[in-house]
Amino acid sequence: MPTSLPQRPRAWLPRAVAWGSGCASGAVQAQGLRLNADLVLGGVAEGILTLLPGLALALTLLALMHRWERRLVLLALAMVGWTLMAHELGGTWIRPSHLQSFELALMTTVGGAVALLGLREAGLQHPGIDVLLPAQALLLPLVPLLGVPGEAVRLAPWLVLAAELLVVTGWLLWMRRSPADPGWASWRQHARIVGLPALLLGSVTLHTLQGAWPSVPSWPALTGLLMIFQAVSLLLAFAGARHQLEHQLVQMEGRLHERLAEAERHHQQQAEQRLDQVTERERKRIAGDLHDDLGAKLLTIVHTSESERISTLAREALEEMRLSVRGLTGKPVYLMDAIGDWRAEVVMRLGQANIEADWLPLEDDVVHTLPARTYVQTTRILREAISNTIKHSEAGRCVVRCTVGDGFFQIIIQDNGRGIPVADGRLDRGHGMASMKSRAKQMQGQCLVESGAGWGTVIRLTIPL
Amino acid sequence: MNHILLLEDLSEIRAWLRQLVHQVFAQAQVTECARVQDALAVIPRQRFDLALVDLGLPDGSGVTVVEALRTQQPEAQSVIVTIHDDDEHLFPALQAGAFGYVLKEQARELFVDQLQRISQGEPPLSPSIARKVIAHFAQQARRAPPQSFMPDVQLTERESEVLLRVAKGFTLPEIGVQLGLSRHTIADYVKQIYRKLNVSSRAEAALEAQRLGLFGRS
Repeated sequence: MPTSLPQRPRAWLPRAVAWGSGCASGAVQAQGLRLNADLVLGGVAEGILTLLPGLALALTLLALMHRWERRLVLLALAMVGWTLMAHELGGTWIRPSHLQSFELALMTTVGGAVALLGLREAGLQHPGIDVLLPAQALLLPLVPLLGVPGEAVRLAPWLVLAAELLVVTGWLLWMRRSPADPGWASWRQHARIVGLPALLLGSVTLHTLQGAWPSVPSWPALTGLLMIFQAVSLLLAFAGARHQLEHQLVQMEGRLHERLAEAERHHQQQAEQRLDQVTERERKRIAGDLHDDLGAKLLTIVHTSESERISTLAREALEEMRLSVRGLTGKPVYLMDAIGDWRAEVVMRLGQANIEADWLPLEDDVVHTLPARTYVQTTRILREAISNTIKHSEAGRCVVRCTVGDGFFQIIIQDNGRGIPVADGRLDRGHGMASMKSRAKQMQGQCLVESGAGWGTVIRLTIPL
Repeated sequence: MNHILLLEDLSEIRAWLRQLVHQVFAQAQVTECARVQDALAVIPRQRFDLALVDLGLPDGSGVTVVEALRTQQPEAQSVIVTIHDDDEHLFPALQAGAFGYVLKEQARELFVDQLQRISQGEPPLSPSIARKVIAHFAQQARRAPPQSFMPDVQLTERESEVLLRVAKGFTLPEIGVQLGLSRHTIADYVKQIYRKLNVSSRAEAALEAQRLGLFGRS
């Protein structure tokens, strides 16, 4: 080792003043107590430095497994460099004339890696710096090899590296001088991504300066500790990102399911709408055909037939046809509306037949609806009952009552006529009683007929709502 | 009723109707048409007091003829003669200005009676039509602020009362008894209801046309 070169204090390990002033070589001869403390601290420092290679290996493996975590390699590199430097391995098997270059190479590697990592952590990647820092790790160590004598040539590479590191640190601190949001969590995050790299950079810069001037203090074990902190911070961030990714994945999956369900619902709705449209169009077509063809022919029969009986039959057929068309709509009918229609028709027909009509409408407005089919069938039963009264009963008065009860609807039609004659012990079938009853049965309802000669007729129609 | 337009495509029914019209209005001169186009061609040349219009015709709907009469001869009365008794068919014709309707298949005496009543200013009003009219005015009241409509297009309280009772199934004579009004007064209400339905429907159509920019944007 050329004695002309001033040496940095090689007192890093156990006997070292690892935490204290590396420069004050006089401290080595301190009192016993101090020495004990130094020994403890030295042990801790050695422990820290022993951790570095293992962590570096772990970080490298992680970086190899996850391409987007490649920056972990930078820290691993810095850790390896730092370990080599701390254990002064170079001193044992590198020629003394090359030692300077070796130390510079290690320092530029560590400094460059720490600087690039710090910038990446703070989100300040810069393509120029990305090229410059690795390039000088190759160039600066060459300077001592040129063999140019002189203090300036010896100092220059160290100072250049220190200046670069200072600039990077300064830029980092300036660009990220305050956290994005106020609040404790934001400051903690800021300390992690700006403070920690800046501290590490500062610590490495001090060590670089010590290369130039041995009197500059530096704490190698502290740098190692900071590197470990940085590694923990990176690993925590990695774990956090992974956790967040999983969370996002779960969320996206949930959203996807929602979307799918919505699309399905939409599709179903559209299909239903389309079905409704097609049904409506078809209904209109059938209704139009019935009216135009069947209706016109029935109408012609009504008005051209010589026979009153045939005219009446054709008229009834026309009414039936209209009712069927109405039933085709499938639209439910409000019970109140249905009663209105029935009442108007019944009162008008009885009036034309000179029979006094007595039909009190429902007291309360009811909100029930009848299915279209029920409306049509009930209309038919009612028409038949009133027709019977008009044609056969010779009644002078007809009373109709509607009631809405618990889940059913009832119409009672009572006349004061001569009643229905009994044939073969049964009520006369000719009066359409059987068809009224079977229609009621179709609606899960019932139609009861009570009649006696001279007692009039009571028809009770009950339909479930 | 001196001049009567008869629009009906079925010749047998047309003959039957002509016979009935002559029975009611012995002096009347009846112009017969079988198609919408024929009627539209006749209307500008001939003045009519009454028109009996079928709805479903081979070349279109009788509603077109009702509209043409309403604009060209406002004093002519259009009466729908049809086999359709549903409000789906009748309501547009009433909105277009028809003054009542008679169902074709009715027995001769009933038909004559109803035709006579209509020509004397007593048009019929069925519960389902009444409900449609109520819904029409309710919708219009919701859609436009009252002051933007002419006041004589709004139903009076009495007219609304009559409509509500018809919708519940009461006949016009019954309502007259209930409200203590004469048959003629009730008939007047019904006439007013028909008139207002027509006026408000046309106002609505004009607004709609304006909204669609048919008259340009002012």
